[in-house]
Amino acid sequence: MKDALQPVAAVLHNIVPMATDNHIFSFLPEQPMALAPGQFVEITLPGVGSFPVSACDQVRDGLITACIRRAGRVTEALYQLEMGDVIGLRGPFGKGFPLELFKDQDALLIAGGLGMAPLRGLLQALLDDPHRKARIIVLYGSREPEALLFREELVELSKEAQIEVRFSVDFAETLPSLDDRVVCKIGLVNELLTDLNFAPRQTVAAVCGPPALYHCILEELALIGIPAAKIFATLERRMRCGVGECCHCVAAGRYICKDGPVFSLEQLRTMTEAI
Amino acid sequence: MKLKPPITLAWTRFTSCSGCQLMLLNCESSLAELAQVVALREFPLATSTECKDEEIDVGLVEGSITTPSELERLLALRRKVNLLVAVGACALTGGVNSLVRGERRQAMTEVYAGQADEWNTFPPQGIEHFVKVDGQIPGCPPEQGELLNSIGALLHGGWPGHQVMPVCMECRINENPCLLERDCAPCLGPITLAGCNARCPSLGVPCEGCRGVVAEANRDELRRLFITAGLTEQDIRHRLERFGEAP
Amino acid sequence: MTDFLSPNYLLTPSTLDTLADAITKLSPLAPQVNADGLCRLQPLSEGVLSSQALSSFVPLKKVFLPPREKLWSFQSGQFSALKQPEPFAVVGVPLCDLQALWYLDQVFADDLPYQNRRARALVVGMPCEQDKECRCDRQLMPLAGDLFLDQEHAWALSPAGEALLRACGAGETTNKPLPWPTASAGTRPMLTEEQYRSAADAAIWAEAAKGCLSCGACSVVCPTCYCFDMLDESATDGSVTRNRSWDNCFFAEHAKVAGGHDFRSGRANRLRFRMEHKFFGFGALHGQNSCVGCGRCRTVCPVDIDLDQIATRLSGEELA
Repeated sequence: MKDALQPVAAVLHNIVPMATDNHIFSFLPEQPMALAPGQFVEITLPGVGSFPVSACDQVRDGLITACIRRAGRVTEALYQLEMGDVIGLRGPFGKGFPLELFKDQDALLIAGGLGMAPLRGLLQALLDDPHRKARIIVLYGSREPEALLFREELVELSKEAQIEVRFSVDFAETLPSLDDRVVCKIGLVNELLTDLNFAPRQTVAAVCGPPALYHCILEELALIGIPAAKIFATLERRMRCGVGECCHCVAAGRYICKDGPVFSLEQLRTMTEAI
Repeated sequence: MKLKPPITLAWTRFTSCSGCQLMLLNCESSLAELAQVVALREFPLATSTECKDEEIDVGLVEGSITTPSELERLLALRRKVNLLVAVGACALTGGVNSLVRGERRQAMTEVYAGQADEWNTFPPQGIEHFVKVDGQIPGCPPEQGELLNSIGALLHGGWPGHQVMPVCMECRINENPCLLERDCAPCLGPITLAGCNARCPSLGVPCEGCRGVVAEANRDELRRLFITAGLTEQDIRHRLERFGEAP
Repeated sequence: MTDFLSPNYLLTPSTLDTLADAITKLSPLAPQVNADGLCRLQPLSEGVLSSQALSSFVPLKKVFLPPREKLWSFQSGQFSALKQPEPFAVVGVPLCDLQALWYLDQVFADDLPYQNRRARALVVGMPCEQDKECRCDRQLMPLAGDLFLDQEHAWALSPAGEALLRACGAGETTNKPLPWPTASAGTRPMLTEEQYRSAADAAIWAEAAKGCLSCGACSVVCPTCYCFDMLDESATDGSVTRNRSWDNCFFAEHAKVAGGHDFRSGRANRLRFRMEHKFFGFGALHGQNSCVGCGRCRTVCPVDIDLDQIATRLSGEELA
């Protein structure tokens, strides 16, 4: 029996500063670790504590890569670390996005705020599929233009016609000039849907963002015509053990860490009070 | 910036009994190890040398602030330390120093008679009232394990996590008879932050609340239980205000 | 669910002696009432096996999921597991606690520290005397453990238990059923999940939760409560230990995430959560009522919160 509570040592391999207090960290675990889009690992800083995080990229050369916001005591300590420092990784935990469903289907990725990080992991998986021909549409809302994560990369991918991108920001004096192909509006992310031309019946949607985003957008997507079984959201909870034991993350009788964190709208409709 | 051992550390004492320092000094079995990783620049209970460094990694503060000169020293300390840690009840909330029943001026006159006016003091306060505090180690006195754990975690670049549970749960885990139920004792265990392994109630002494109050404490209900147990409003007030928990 | 049928053997005095010797060699823990009147599971003082089960203040779970245990240590960049426990025994366990053990066995089926202890333990149940707070129910769930002994019979609850019985000379079998308390209080509420969910806004939650001190006593004494948290402890030599310790769903931080959002704010929501967990189970155990009816939480709660009473009201039944 594997001890799921025992971390694997991993070396902090690289730190790439992105937006303020949102850096991309990559770790090289001692033993190879698989991590699918939407799944998560528990990062352990010995002596300080641990926190759950999803990858923002595919595992490449054995590296686990995550965009981590400086948001609390433990991530604060992570930001003090230097390359070469040893941390611990546990996982992979949970059920991620069902990649097989995205095959031959248009992908609609909708992110709010830091929710872009796990969706960027999904995006990379879709882009890595050499046979993929279907559309990838990214709708991404943030508080302000500077807080849009992976902004340059998304614009670049849009220029290369690999994806279609629409940004929304809550506040901005002036909107950044990005690219003619990139829509950028002031408003909420669901407003980006209004004049979006797409085929709901052949689309799979993945949504990630703060709880408020789910309230408004999931049923709206269903209303537009995407089947509820093809609308996915990833839930945030206080995930401690990762293996469905400690009870902190439970919502609607489910261990979000183990049964999720990715759920379809079809599932979420039966999960009272989960969103 | 991650701290590299040896960490420079200055222990500064304000209005207090030095009991917190004594707790660290009493960690005999760890002192040799501690000396390897920590460079003590100031520690009044062990040396009269004052810290001359212009920059210090960690400042540990014991005691409450009650005079203008203490406040000046505190501000100066804050300017030169990277991390400022409040140690013990006095530094956190004012502690027993802030326990003045009735009118302060009258109390001063009672104790110092004609010299009362010579003391330039103000009501004792915890240090967070004046400066940013990066870490807290509660208790009167703090637990040795918690002092060492905190210093140990600093070596790993952070501050340790704590379980937000009340003394009551530790006490039940220790399988002690409940003092509130059995003796109708005014035990503050249900609302006091754990971490002491229910030290007092495990010895039959009702919890005095020296570690401060847990988040979302249900004071109203505890008060009702105390009244049911036969305590008066005054008993309850005296109990709660001992460690600065306003009744 | 049908009653748990276990192979049952007649015990001769000599078999019982041999068995008692074998168990005593495993330095057993047994429930014993101390001078202060509290019953605790503790090392058997006299080396004499009791013949009766007692309800200990903190139940059997503390043996397999200790209130605080080390999970691993970290030094010089290496994580290392902790050593395996020695074989041991627990005797005098009441039937309700054996059910609770079955439940925890399911929850911690893949938990190595838990299973390491389970694999090395011999758990021996014994007949109990029914207390006024007891509401046990033999149909609720199966039993775990290895043996159940009264003075004349032994029931094998596991292959290990059966092997030990045979090794001690037990041979003749009978069909005696396990001695469940006959006059079980029996008034367990029949609350359906639908009733529970449709009562999300009922006034009773806030009403009942108003007095909750969030003291944590209920989960300490509950034989099927298993919430835990994990925290690190650093030593000055640079080593770190991660500890797992019991938690409680009434604590303010239980569902709070970094950044401060609380997914279960307020006492009323937390009471509902506890109720849901006890009566309807989480994850793979969804649908399994885990309240074994021992009555410990009711007895220990300083403000007399009684889940059964709340369930009775929610289900529209008359109060007992």
